[in-house]
Amino acid sequence: MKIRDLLLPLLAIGSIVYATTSIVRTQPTRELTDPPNAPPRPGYAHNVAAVGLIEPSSEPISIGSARAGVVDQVFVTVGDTVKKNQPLLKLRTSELEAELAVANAAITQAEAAVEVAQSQVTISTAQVKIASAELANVQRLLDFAESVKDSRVISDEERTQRKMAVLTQQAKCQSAEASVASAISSVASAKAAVVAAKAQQRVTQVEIERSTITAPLDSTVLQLRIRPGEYVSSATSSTPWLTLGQTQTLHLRADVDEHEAWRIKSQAEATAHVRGNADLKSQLTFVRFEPLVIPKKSLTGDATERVDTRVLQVIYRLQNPAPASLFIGQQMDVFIAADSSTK
Amino acid sequence: MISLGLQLLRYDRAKYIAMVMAIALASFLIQNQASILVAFLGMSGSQIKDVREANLWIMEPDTECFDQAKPLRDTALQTVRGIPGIDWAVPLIKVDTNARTDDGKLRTVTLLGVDGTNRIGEPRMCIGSASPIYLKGNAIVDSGGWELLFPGTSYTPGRSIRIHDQWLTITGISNASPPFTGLPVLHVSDRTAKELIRGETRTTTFIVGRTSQDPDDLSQYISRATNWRAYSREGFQTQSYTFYEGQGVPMIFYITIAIGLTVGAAFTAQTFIMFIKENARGITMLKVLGVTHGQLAVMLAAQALMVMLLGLSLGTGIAAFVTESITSIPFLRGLYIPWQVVALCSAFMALISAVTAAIGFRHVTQLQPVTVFRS
Repeated sequence: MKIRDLLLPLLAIGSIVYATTSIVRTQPTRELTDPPNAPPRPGYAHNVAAVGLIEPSSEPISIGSARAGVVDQVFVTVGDTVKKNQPLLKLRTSELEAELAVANAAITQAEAAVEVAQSQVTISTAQVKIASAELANVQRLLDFAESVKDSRVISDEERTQRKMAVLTQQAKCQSAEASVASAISSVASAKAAVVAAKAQQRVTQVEIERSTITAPLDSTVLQLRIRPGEYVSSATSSTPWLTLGQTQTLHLRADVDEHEAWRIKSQAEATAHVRGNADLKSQLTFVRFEPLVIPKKSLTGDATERVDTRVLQVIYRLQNPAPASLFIGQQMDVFIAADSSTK
Repeated sequence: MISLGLQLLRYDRAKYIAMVMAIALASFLIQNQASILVAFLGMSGSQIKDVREANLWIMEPDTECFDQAKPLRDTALQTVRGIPGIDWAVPLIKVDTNARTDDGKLRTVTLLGVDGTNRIGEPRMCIGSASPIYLKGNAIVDSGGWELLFPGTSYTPGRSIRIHDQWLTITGISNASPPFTGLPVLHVSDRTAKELIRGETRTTTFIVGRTSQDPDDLSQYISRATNWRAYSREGFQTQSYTFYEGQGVPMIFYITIAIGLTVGAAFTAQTFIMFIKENARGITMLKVLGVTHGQLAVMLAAQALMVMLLGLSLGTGIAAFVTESITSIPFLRGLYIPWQVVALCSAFMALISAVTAAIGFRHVTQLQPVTVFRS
């Protein structure tokens, strides 16, 4: 056999060896790999899955202000624990303090007016006494004239004059008495003015008191978006400027699709998994169902809500202490044990 | 008898090489065309295959294949997570949208939103790392897609594209399998994807999950028990494959394969019979000398087998070489020769050789001693 005859078979052998290695090497791999972060696995035989949002047990409280104004001082920082009625922040009150000074002056003024009126009463009373004394005098002179019958001693003219004097003096007496009554009513009026001025002062004081915003209950400052110099509106704002909440126990608000709501029992076991590390999980205790089924709000943080379906909200209490540091507003994957009687 | 047969073949070098080449050509044509067809239709499942973590796909019943998908309700994910037997499930966003490159070119792209929490569906990387996509405004494009978006340039970090008036920075090149549609494949995080398609009511295109049960059984259960359709990973690839197969795409390949078969068979058979006829005198002498038909059959079979093996080996070698050479073209980089194609082609070639040998044998049996004296 010549070398030339072996050429073709050798070429063929080389070719098939090359083809085999090439084909074996390029076969696509179809094996499954494990995900970089294992997603949560359901823990019960039959599950209802939901997405939960961590919230304070009191639900987040967006503090409101009774009056609008510029912030003067903020007494708390984020994370502070506050007691009930503890001041949180104070609005600028300089204009109210000026009004208070005006109100105080008005009180002083009104009180002075009372004193003036009271001295007027004293003066008028004295004048009544003077007029009465004068009247007694002219009366005595008249009485004397009347008792002397002899017209040579006291002329008729004199007698008539004395009568007139008595009448005049009687009128003066009445006038003086009227002055007294007038002065007394002036006192009452001035006293009423004092009361009014005090009421005005109280109004301003209340406004000043309302300028200090206090905590409605023992809680923690969750969010603080207000600094001295910023303006606070008394209207409700879509972005709360100060949020409080009770964080000793945390609640989880789980959104369950309305189609699955029928499978949930109130006392069913439930577990929540921490996002990003599904191995960290927390047992949940049922608190309540929200009585109102609401349209689902997308929790992507996107400004535009997507309303797609309605959800039943179930409130659970997170196990305390938590398996990992959990934060309010965080999302968790929830599995709720359900009836086996699925459709 | 076998070595005699092989010697006979060698003495008629022209026909010997012609037959080997015919088989080689037919094998090459069949394997090459069948591989391109399989790879081409297989691209319809590229993105399914690329989600290497999931073995279960859930979608709206109207979804016919990966490229024509209708999105699911947003709460579907939770319902799916509650289905018994599902270990885990995460959403996958897929949307085709228009993108404008920073030099003003307009392109339709396939946008894939990878679940940011569990990073399922993250592509294998060619250049750079996948992590930046979990930051807002970053994307990864496949190498073929880069070529389409920024033709003639090599990868430079920081090039950007605009989708719905939002800029995306390309931070890496992925090894994503080329899609059937030929569009650039952009991987972003699900959050970025949702922002880009803001305004759409439904965003979850698919739910991909994993089960430790048989995924085909579970997907049938899901399709029965819910309003959705579920497939196993392979099942969905087959579904996408079958969808495009039904669109008439493969016909052109079938024609070429048929030509390969016919040419291979006809040419080989014709040449072999000519070979036998030319050697008729010799073969008759053998018969006269007392060689049985059985021995002659062995001789013919050895010849046919030899021709087939040589031709098939050469053809397969050429096919493998051509395939490896053209996979450097970005669009064809998913090309490979499935071993099933090689097996099927070998079976066809074996059939052709067997038929050829049988025809040859019929000629041999009909030879009369008088043939020896024919000039």
